[in-house]
Amino acid sequence: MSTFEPQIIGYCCANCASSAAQIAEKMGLSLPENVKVIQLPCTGRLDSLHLLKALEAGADGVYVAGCQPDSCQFKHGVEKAQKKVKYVQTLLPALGVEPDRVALFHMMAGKGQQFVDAASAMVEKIRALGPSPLKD
Amino acid sequence: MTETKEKKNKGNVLVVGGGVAGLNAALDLAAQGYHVDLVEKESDLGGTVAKLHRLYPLCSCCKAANRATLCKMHPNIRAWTKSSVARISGQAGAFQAVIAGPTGETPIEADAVILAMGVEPFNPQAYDTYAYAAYENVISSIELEWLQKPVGPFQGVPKRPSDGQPPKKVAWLQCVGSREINKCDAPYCSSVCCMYALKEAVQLKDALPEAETTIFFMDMRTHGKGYEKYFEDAKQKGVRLVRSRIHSIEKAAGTEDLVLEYVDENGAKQVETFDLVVLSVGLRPSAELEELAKMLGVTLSEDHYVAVDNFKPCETNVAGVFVCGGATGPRDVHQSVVEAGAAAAKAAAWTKGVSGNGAVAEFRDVSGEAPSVGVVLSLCPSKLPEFEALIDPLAAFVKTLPGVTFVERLDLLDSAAFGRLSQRLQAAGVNRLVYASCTPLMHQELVESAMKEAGLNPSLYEFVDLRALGSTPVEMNRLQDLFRTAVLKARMLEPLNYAKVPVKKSALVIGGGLAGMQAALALAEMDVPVTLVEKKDRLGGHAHKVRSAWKGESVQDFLKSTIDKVTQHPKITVLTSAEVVGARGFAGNYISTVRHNGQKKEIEHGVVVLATGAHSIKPDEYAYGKHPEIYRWSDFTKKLIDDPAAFKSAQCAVFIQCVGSREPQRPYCSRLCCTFAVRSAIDLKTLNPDMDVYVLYREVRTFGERERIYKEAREKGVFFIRFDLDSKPQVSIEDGRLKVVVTDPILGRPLALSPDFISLQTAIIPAEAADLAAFYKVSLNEDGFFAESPAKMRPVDGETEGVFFAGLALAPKPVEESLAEAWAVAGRAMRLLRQDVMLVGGAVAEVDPDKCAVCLTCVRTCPFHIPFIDSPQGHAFIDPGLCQGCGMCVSECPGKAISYRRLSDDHIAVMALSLLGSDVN
Repeated sequence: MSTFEPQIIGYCCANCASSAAQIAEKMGLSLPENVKVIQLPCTGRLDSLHLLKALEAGADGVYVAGCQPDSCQFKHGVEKAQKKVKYVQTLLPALGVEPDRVALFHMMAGKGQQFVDAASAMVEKIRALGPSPLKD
Repeated sequence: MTETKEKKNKGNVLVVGGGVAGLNAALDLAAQGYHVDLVEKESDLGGTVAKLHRLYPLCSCCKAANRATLCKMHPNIRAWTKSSVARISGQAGAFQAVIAGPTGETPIEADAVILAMGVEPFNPQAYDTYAYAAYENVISSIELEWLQKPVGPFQGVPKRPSDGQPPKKVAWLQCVGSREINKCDAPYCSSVCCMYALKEAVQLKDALPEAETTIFFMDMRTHGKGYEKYFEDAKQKGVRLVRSRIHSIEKAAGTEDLVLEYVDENGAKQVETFDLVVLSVGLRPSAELEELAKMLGVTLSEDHYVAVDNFKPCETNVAGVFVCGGATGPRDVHQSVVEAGAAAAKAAAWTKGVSGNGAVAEFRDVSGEAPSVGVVLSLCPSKLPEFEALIDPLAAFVKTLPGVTFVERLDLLDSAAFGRLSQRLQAAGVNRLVYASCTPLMHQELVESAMKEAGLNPSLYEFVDLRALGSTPVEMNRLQDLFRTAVLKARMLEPLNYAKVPVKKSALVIGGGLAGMQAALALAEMDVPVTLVEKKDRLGGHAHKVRSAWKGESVQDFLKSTIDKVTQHPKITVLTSAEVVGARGFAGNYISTVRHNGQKKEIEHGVVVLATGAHSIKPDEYAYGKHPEIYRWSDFTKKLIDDPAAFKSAQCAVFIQCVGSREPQRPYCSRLCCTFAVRSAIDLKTLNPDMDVYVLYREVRTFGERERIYKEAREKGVFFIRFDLDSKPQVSIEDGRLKVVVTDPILGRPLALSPDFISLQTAIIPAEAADLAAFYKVSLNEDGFFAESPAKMRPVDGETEGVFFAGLALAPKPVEESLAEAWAVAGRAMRLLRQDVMLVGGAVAEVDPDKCAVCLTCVRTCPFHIPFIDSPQGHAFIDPGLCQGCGMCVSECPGKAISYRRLSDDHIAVMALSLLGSDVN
């Protein structure tokens, strides 16, 4: 048994993802301890660079939690983020990094469980992949 | 509820009821500079909405919680929970009330009163044949909402009460406690139940995809904006609909399952077993309404809601007492919020006398100062004691971080907490704030205003999100990372630019129909100069072709007096045969170009109201245009207005509904046509009781108290015959005579009618408004109506600040709703116009002209079409007054020419490093 605990950065939007976090809080749920959130005004603010920088900084996995495509307050922010996640996924193999270390989840404002489940799913996935090859 | 919140404003308004209507009315008033005493009988604000799981179209329950939090902490709102109005006397401008609450009785004074006491669900025990009390698996819709809530007992996956198993086959019975007088004394339609049953069924299928869902209904009333589409989507998702009113519920022998017997549309008897039956209970006025109304002398309607004149929405018969939401009758959330805005505006217009915000405090120049950070921990009282135990060691850790000057807790139970925060920031002389909270976004406005009051640029703060964290000792590691990162980020923050722009205290109203005129009058009554622009050569718009409101009140008399008031009002400039051909600027500062009498002139204004109206389509079916006695409803009405006896001698009249509405090419419901046909049918029957009047319909949507006239029409002998889209009535002309053939669904055979005339209730389509939408940076929906702000619960606001909508331009609606919107617009506009100066800028995107390659990416990316190419300068320009700060263009710009200094790329990179434990101090 390895004792590997992945370090994960979540970029979460200030609308649906934040509302889902609010519900999660009310439900008494908590994010896995190795997940740390950076809040964006909208996932449309996400740049490919932010995903790569987080990996470079030592994250084993990075995910984005945004709205449903039809409920973004800024209309199509999450679609822009989706594109960037896909783009970064195409770059990663060249760096010897598994594309699955980067992911995007659509949140629903009323679903707190989903907010925590996405984070847990990410932790499980990265735990299976092992430490990021970018770390020494 | 401490006494520190002194009444310091110009007027005080007592708002009774802390549900969605009361919260919105209170916040609108506070934003206009009034003080509010908000009285709520429950221990929490939020009312009925707080008990619901999701609202159409998506979820906005969270926005209600948001408003509740704001009301509780707002410096101009005193929230009295677990309280009621024990006594009230006096008159407009000088009401004396006694509020009874947990701490005893407190006398208060108020200039105006708003009744927002909402609704209660009907108690279904009155129906003995539904055995609600006896059978465990018969539940009310409000109970189902609770079972569906993620914070409810089963994490959002409903279970049936008898055995805790997820239900497999669920039935909804509509109209329980509505449209009936025998068992429930509620002849009215509760207006919301069709939509909530559809929503509950869709949500149930979402949680339990295998479950079968069936709704037993009489008429499916999805008459709101976008509701018809939801109805169609629900059917697509497998929600089954059966047109039948169920008489009784029996228990299946030996089980807790339930048996329903009904007759289907083919006349065949059916017996079906369900494992859960949901009673879609109707709405009742609040139990406290009657007594309070009595104390105030407010008249109630025969349905025990507050009686309101259709032409004076939200007003009671007592001067200075206003009403909104469920207290006026069955209302959905949308209409309640519109009325809350209208009631707030009317109360404000009555109270008058609030001046502007005067000088905005200067922000201290902190550029020469080393970062000095105050850290504030604002913990919900509901946080677990285990989490509490982490706080002291955490505070000790935070104190050691570079740049931290103080670490302190904020007591949220103290309603003056944010006032104290401001004092603390000032006394400590800090220049940055880190605010850690379980409600970081809800408190944003309050934190920023506390900072402004302390003379600090409100952009100099960073928050720590304490939500969804654990409470075990191992959590300390993450907390340390979060706080270290937040303090680091705070130190990196530079003050953002806020330009102080004087507000132009005037309004431009586009569209001189009833909605536009009413908005102009409302604003003018609050001393705002208004320019009213109308395309045609006369005021009045579509109202010239509306004979009466649903109770029969003359619209023409009202229209005439409104036109007189508008043309005579010294604050209103009317430009007819005029058109807006361009506009620039932002909230508080617009310059629009108007073409009038062949000349262009520029008008400066602070806000704009788009009330461009709608009209009925000319159909290409039902032999329209082939016979002079086939009318569009607007033409039929016009003829009746000009000659009230025009159709007196007719033997037979036919009304055909949904002409061009609710069809694939125009899927929405036009909302007012059913009420129109029913009203007209009654009036024709009154004119000539021997006339045969037929209404051929698809669903009768006489929602709310309008159900009364549907009943009256049937009693007067009006025939209602239902048809489906695939069996539309056939209209033909034989020897110059009209003939209509329709299949009677009850007899199952064709019925031939020979009417003297036919009125076609054709779909309402909006006036072309794409140009205006582009000028003012707002959107149209797929049907061409204006789209309200995507930030939920702003039914008359555009997605751009300073732009408002009223009337038919938003969606088809009756006169009384247009008038309420016009007043709501005035209230929303006054939030801006009461300010002398606006702060423009802050968290916005900024273009570096040297890096901009004019590639147009930002122009194409912006969801609100804000960036444009400033040709003389040769680079993209993003107006800080319009930018909404989503940051999308920042990330899309290929040249990295756009920055977002509230959360820069450098900030994000450093935050990621720090969160992952690197020491980047």
